[in-house]
Amino acid sequence: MPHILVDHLRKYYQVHQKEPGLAGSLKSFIRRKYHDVKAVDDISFSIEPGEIVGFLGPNGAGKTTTLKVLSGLLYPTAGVARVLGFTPSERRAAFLRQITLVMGQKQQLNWDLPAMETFIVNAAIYEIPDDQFKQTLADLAELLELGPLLKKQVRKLSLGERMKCELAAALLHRPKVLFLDEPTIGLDVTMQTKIRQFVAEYNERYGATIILTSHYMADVTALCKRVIVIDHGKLLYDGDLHALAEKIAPHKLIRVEFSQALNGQRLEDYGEVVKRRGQRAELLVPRDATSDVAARMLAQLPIADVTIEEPPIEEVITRVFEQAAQVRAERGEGEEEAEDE
Amino acid sequence: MIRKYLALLRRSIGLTLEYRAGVLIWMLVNIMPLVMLAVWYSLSEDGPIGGYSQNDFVSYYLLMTWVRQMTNAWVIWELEYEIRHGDLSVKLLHPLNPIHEYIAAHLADKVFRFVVMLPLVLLAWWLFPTIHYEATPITLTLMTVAMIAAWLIRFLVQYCFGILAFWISASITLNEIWFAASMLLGGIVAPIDLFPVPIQAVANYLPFRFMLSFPVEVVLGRLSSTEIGIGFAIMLFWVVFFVVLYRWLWAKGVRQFSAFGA
Repeated sequence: MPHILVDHLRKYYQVHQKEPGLAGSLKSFIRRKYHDVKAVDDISFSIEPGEIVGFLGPNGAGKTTTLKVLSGLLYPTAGVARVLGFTPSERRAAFLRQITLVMGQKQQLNWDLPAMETFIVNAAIYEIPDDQFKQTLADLAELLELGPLLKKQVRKLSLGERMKCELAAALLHRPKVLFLDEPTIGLDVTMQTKIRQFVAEYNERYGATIILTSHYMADVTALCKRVIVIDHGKLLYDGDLHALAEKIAPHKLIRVEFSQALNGQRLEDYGEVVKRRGQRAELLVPRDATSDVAARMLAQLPIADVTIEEPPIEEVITRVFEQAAQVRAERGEGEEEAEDE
Repeated sequence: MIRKYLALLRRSIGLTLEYRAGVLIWMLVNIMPLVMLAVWYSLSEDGPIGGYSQNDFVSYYLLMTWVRQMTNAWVIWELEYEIRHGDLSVKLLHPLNPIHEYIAAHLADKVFRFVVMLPLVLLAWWLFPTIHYEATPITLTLMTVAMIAAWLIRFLVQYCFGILAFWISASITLNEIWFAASMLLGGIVAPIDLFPVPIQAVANYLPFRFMLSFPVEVVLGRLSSTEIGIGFAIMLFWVVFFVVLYRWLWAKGVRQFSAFGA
């Protein structure tokens, strides 16, 4: 049985529009204009126990809304969401005790008290037995290097230290399903790496199912075999991260280094030159023609070294969104919100 | 549940102590009954008004100050803010109804206020040796029960107004209107039995009386035991009424929640 099941899920928000300025305020006071924002628009997927899935999409794509529906904060407008066999929006205690939602932008730790105080309260609220609490706390303290942080007032912690404590607070009850919404936002590279390692370790140790959203592709490539890409509330791709590149990016990248300066040969004849510096160059070549082109280059050019690579995943993802935008533009559904008053 | 409350209470007391100066200032600001006492004290200089002598006014308003401090609620300010800013999300993720976290915070505040107020009460007793209450173990117990119920009503009314923030942005304003009515009809501006009889007849049944005045009336010795019994019955009705209203509004409101700001 999948841990997470989403079937034709929709979540629309009613938002009222107001033109700027006093006149706009008066107008909106007399006659309020509402329109539906389709934050999540007919999405389906399912996730098996123990999977780590990356949730990708630009700002406002519907990632956070989906996570909020899955953790029971929002009622879906239509469709089905099931997590661990529960309907999240019913917010049953037995369900809430087995999940967690970590939001990089929102904190549960009390600003004016040490993190330990929140941990103790959570232990009681989640009905964690004493010995299990001690054990988990010791584990988390070791994995996240929390030691001296626990007794400091939270407002005196650095951003990274606070995030580590937030994670610990969210995981004390050993949830089976983790929704991590931008857990590394604003953190430096070292701290990002640590959080990443920790997530992988938690997944391994407790067999937890994890959905992760992040703006840092490194988070996703390091942790997730599978990605779900959404944009404008619609699902664009669901599957293997590397297969995504093959499916979406019609090109491969050939990186060459020459042993001597070129003798009048034009690189443009072999493919699209994306970078050229001295003896080095990078070319985009149609995926099917890659081996032919590489063979021709080796035969005709003074080549010292050559590698063939997938284009960087960031570029692949960008291309996915560009294509989706293009499709929308062609269909003429740029602003598809229905207006009513 | 006891374990949860103990933990919540522990944290809330920690916070109350952290913010002790703020709480003390709020307590000092809360002196409307003493202001009204000064007014009625000077008005009744030439003789009793509606059966209240100067001494009766002192007895009434000193006790009112105590009751008002101990039954105080402020949950609407937090609830409204957390709903509008999406901070409620954190509490909604816990396997515990958020109302318990707010109740625990109020309980901690009551413990703090009790400790601060007690010496002041004893001081007042010493300063005004002529004040008189029907202070028997029975009436004192009844007053305590009435105070707990009064707090419950005040808390639940604010909670219900706070829940309205799921739909509208004027919930605080509505609560202010209610607050003004409770000043007038809850026995702060004047004891309810000083009002014209028709107004009294209505005020005796409205919730405002049971948010403030009734616990005072119980030990003032002006009510017959039948009237006290009827009072408790009406009070119980209002407690049940607001519990039911809260549960209904909450179930509807949570469906409406948009969890903004994250």
